[in-house]
Amino acid sequence: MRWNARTRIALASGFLGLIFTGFSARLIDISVARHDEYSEIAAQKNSIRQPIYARRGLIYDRNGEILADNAPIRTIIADGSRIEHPDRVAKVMAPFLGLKEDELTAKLTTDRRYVVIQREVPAETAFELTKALDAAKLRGIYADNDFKRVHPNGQMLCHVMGFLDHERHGIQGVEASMEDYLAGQDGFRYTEHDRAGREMVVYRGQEREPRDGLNVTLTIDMGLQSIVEDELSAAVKQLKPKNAIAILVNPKTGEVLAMASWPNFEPDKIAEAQPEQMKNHAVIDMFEPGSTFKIVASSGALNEGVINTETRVDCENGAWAYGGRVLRDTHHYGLMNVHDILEKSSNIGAAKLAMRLGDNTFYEYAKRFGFGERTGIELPGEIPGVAHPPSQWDKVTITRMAMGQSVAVTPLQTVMAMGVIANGGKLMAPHIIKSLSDSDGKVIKEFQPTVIRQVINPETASIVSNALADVVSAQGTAPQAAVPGFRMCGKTGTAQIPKPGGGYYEGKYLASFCGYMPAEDPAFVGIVMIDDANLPPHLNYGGLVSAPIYARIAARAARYLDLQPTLRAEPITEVVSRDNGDEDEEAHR
Amino acid sequence: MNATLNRPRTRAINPLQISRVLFYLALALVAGTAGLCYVSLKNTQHDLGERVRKTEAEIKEFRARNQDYQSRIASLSSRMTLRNKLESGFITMVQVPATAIARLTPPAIDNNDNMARAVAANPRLLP
Repeated sequence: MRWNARTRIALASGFLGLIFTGFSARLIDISVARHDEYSEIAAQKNSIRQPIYARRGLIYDRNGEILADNAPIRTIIADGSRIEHPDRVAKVMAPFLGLKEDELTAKLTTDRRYVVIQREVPAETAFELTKALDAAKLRGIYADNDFKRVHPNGQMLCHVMGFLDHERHGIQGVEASMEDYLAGQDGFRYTEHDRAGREMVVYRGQEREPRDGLNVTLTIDMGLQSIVEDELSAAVKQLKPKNAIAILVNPKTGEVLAMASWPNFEPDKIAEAQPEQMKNHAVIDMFEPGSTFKIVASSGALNEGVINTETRVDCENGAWAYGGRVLRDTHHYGLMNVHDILEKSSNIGAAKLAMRLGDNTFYEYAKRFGFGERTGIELPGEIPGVAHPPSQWDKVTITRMAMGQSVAVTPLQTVMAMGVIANGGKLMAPHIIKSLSDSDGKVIKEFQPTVIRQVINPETASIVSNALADVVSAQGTAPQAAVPGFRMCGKTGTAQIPKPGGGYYEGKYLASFCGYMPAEDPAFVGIVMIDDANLPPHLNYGGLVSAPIYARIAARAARYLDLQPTLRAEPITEVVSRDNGDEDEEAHR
Repeated sequence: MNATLNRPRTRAINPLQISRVLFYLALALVAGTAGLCYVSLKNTQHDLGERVRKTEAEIKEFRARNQDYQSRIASLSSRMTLRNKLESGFITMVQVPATAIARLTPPAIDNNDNMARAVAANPRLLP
């Protein structure tokens, strides 16, 4: 080979060509053949999926009062891979977060890219902290947006509202039942960060806007709720019961206007609450109703035509042997019509009315009044109660069930059943959600009243209503439920508390009163239940314990709702009622 | 004469082809300008991106503050707080005298029994 200029040029060119070919091959290998692998590494290093949190919907009462709100807070996060001087960062951060500098330095000395330094930092503090870090040119600390659910009214309405778990999901009350509407949908954005950890906006990738949660408006009227909770709280202080429950419902629409249960809890301090405090006894607990259940037998017998208003039933002078057992009234009643049976709350009379109906028809009426099935209210954990079918009854079951034993109901079922009498015979579906609206206030969905069924005809309802009005009279079992100027209707109930293994506790009673007002055109139907008040047995009756509480609630509610008195107010005479009985008896002195 | 002797003493220099030089110069200028424009646009894009980021952060901050203040207002004007203020004597309730209330819907009086009827009760259902 001649070693001339041409050869040297060819060799040099060939050598350079080889080098460039090598580089080109490597370039193609990196950018084409192993594109996915390197893209992933790059994405892991710089690109992140940034969540954009949706705002949780607020909860309002029917008048627009805020019941559950969101307070913005921040979670302070450290990216250890970007922190160059943990000690300097700690020195800046410590005063803002109230942490010790050395502890903070230890936390920040890490290669982990996501270290939670502190949760629930007020937005204002986080803002000042970020400014201080920027001024000191320190990086690697971020403030994640978060929120804290706050309840401006504290314990009020806590069981209806419910609360959230640590992942901000509703786990009780309306927060849980309306979770799908309240939560909204978080958005996201793929984006890249520079070496300093700042977002490079030009490299933003796929993005989805968050969808804010819907605001929920309840049917609850906080004015009435406040009255109910005030009175219930005062009663609890005085009577020291195991549980206390009060509910007000609009009988024409089924809207729940107030619902309170005791013991209660502070929804903003859920960690301090005991499980017993969190139970909404109005829907998740069942009780033997006692005499309030007598409206079923009376209404059924009238509605089926097996009796009329004049039909007289022999009340056996207070003791009736049937099925090997003796059923007693404390007073020795003789012949009584249905009006008197309700007014005097005769156990024997109610049992005989139920027997005239027959097992199957009586059971059917119990079901028609809504007992033994869930009402469908928008609250989680509602139970159906227990109403055994006639196939499971023994001979005396019908006599016991007629006076509210051998059956278990929820307070809400009882108040809805009383609503049947109040509204002319219709069983309304109770509801607590009035509407859903978006963050601009535009109503997305409005919940309408629903009639479940016509239980009894209006004439029957009117006759029973008339009798219930006399229950709240000097001759009835609940004169203490009266509100001057108004014609009131209602029924007392005093039930023994069953033991889990059978039988009843000695000296423990569930005292209740369920009624509505004004009788002519009811604005609300309500119930007050006091479970095991700390009273001697001879004072622990619905007419003595629950009726006065109901009267105080009703009187204040009437003023709040601006109900016009329908009767001339009469001078108040001192009347003391006693509601006792074998299981339920009334006397007056 | 020998031909070698006739050669000019200086070597022949290739004449400058001005048009080609200008062409490449223009090409370089266009490429350079395009490159500079690209860099400038890229910088502007980053600068705008940075402004967008800062503006978004500010908006987010304002929204958070707004929400915070709304939450505080709701808390400070809540029924519970007002009740506590009432109990502590910080505020008082003044009764509105009956003479100062103008009723838009005075209660109807039933001619039969001279009773006040607040609302349209269904007479058929009255006892």
